[in-house]
Formats: sequence, structure tokens, C-alpha cells
Amino acid sequence: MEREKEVIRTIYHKDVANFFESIGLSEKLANGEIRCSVCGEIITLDNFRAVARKSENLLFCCDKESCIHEFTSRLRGDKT
Amino acid sequence: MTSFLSTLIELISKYRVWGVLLIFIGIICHLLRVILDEDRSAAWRARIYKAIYKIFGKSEAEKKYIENDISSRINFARRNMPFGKETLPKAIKVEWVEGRKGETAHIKENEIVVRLDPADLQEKNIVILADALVKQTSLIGIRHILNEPLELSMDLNLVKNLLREIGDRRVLDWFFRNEYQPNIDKSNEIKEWNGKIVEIDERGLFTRLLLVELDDYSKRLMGRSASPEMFNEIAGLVNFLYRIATKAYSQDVPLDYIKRNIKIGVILVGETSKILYDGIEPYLKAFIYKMRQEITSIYLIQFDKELLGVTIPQVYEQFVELTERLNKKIKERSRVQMDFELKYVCTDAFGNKRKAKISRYIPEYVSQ
Repeated sequence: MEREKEVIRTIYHKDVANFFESIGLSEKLANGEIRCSVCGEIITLDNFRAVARKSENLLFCCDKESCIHEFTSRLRGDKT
Repeated sequence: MTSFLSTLIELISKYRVWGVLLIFIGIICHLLRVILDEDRSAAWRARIYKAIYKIFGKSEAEKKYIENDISSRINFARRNMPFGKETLPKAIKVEWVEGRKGETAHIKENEIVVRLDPADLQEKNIVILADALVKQTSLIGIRHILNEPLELSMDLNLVKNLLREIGDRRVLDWFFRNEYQPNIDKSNEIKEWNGKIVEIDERGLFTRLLLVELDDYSKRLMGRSASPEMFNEIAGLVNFLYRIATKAYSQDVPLDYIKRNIKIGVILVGETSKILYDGIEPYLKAFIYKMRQEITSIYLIQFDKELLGVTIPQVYEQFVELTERLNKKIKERSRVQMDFELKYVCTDAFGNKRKAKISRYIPEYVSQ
């Protein structure tokens, strides 16, 4: 029997540069124009942890534990 | 391992060709079991790819190892997590975003794509994905009602339970050091809610009662915008269960929680002597009383006294027999359906291990 699965898409650590190129943001990444949407730190190839789309905009998150936690929480529940 | 090998040698030396045939059939059966079980085969694939990666250092093998190892470990763990009749949360499937040159890695609305670390930091990868899985598949429909401290406490305890089931101390250590403790230390409000969820969880009532009721609650209120009343109802339910979870011997605590959108009743069979001296009638009366209040789910929670089982076996048998008769009489005398019955082991307020059983009854008037 086929069970219900939650697909979580992931990026291989060696594919991060290709990933940014495929979404057309490699130049912005190189220029330090992409920032963590939680703490505001500049996103680099080394500290990039996650990306999400919210209301058509791409949001990025750095690899600080506190940031990734808040990043996923914000996306899952819009608080009143 | 040695005894297993000696059994094989004994089989061959005693039965010769038949022994070899028996071992061969055994191997075939084991292989079939692995192939037919998605998680077992993923675990084997992970071992094979790990070996290939360690020997040749190939990136493709590393990716396959990371993917299969995470899937098998998290999916095995979730099989042991009860959520009423189901397991919790949904199974996970790791999918790589290739992002090859010239290809567009499309990201859907509300989707989170996570970068995973090298295989050497696999414990971190497991925690990150367990956390993402819990957030995406649990508390659906009520996250917008909860305040952050309560939501965070529930998430952290769900992830903790999932990782505990994995049974790898390195993964748990990483989680406690980098996720659990720093988040708990953020504020006193988080500390307070987390303390309550931990107590409820230790009595086995977090995934077997609280989350079951919250799931029902979200279905009942689907499509309605959040209000302070809704948050108060949920927070009140947590407090209600916390008082039950921390109830001292012979202390009276409320056993009904009746609000506009949540109406639950609890019957505790915890004091062994009470049921032994008074019989099952007081419990049956309590059950009927709860039915009259139009409660939508009634939980019968039974805690054994293991000590009694060790010291006076006859009395313990009598207790087990009485609790079984109680379940039978409830079904006979009341128009209810048993939704589920789960046996488990928990710790009481004094840290003693107790065997427990929780049964959820839904009165017929609820489904009419």
C-alpha cells in the first residue's frame, strides 16, 4: 500500500552555487546582496541554509540554528 | 552473533543438505522482508552507499547515503509514535533539487528548500529534516491560533520524541545542545509551556490525547479565523491535562473540560486500591455522568502499579481483570464507540515506571 509522504526538497552542499545560478541569483549572491530574512546577515555559499517562496518573493535563511527555527515557524503559521 | 553462527553450523552438520536448504530459505525470506519494507530497504541502501562513498568519495554516493539514511531513520521512528489510531507525523521523502546549469529550480509558494550538510554531519541533517517534517505535518489548521511559546513547545517535544525513537544519542545530543535548550532558554513563557508539555508527555498524554483533540479541534473549526477565545480554549486544555498529569495521590483535580468547541472528559483508574475495594461501579457512574453532559470524547486512562504486580501477583491479576471488565461494561451499557485503545509505558510524577492504557470513547450522539 502506498503511504502518504511529505516530500522535503533539499540541496546538496556541493550544488549550492549551481542552485543560485539556476534561480538567476548567482550575481546577487556574489555581490552580497542577498540577506537572511531573519537576522539580516549577508548570505554566502557557505552560510546559506534555506530558501522559501512567500507571496511570490524568495526568502533566504542563514545557517544559524536560531534563524532556521524562526524561518520555518514564520512560514508555517501566520499569527494573528 | 557467535551463538547465531554456531546455530547455523549445527544446522548444517546435523541436517546436511536440508540444513543448507533451510538456511537458504531463511535468507530468501529475510531478503523479501527487506525488499517489501520500504524503510528497511532504505536502511540497507544507506549502508551500501555509505561504504561506496567512504571508499571512492563519490558525490552521487554521498547524496544517496544522506537521502536513504534520513528517510529510513525518521520513517522507522515515526512508526512507533502513536497519534490515536495513526502514526505521527507523515513519512518523509527527501528529494534533491538538482539545479543543473540551464535548468530552473522552481520553488513553489510556501515551500521550504533546505541545504543539507556533508555526510559527516549527518546528525545535524537528521535534526533539520525532523524539525521541518514536524512543522509541515503536525498542528495543521491550528498554528495560526497558537502563540509562539506554546507552538514552539509542542514542536520541540514532537521533534524530541521523533529523535528519541531514532535511538541515536549523537542525534539527540546535537538536538538538545543546539535546538532544544537554546529555544527553551529564550523566555520564561516558553519555559513554562514547555514544562507543562513535558509533564503531559511523560504521562503519555501528549501524542495520545492532546494532539488527537487538537486535530479534531482543527477539523471542527476549519476555515474560521483565529480568535482569543480559540487560543484560550487550547491553552485551557493544556492546563487541564497538566493538572491531571501532575495530580498527587488522592488529590482532586477537574476531570471534565467543557468549552464551546472542546468537550472532553477523563476517567482515571490510577489508585489500584480504589478499584479493588469499590469495584467498577463508581467508574461506570462517572462515565454515564459524562455522557449526560454531552461530552464529545471520553478518555479512560488506567495506570498499573507495577510494584503490586511484583509483590502480590494475585491482587495485580484482579486489578487487570477489573479494568478489562470496566472496558467491557462501558461498551455494553453506553451507546459509545471505542475510537482507539493504546497500551504504553510511562513515568509517574515520582519517576517510577508505570504500565498504562488509554482508551478513547466517542458517544454515538457525536456522529449523529
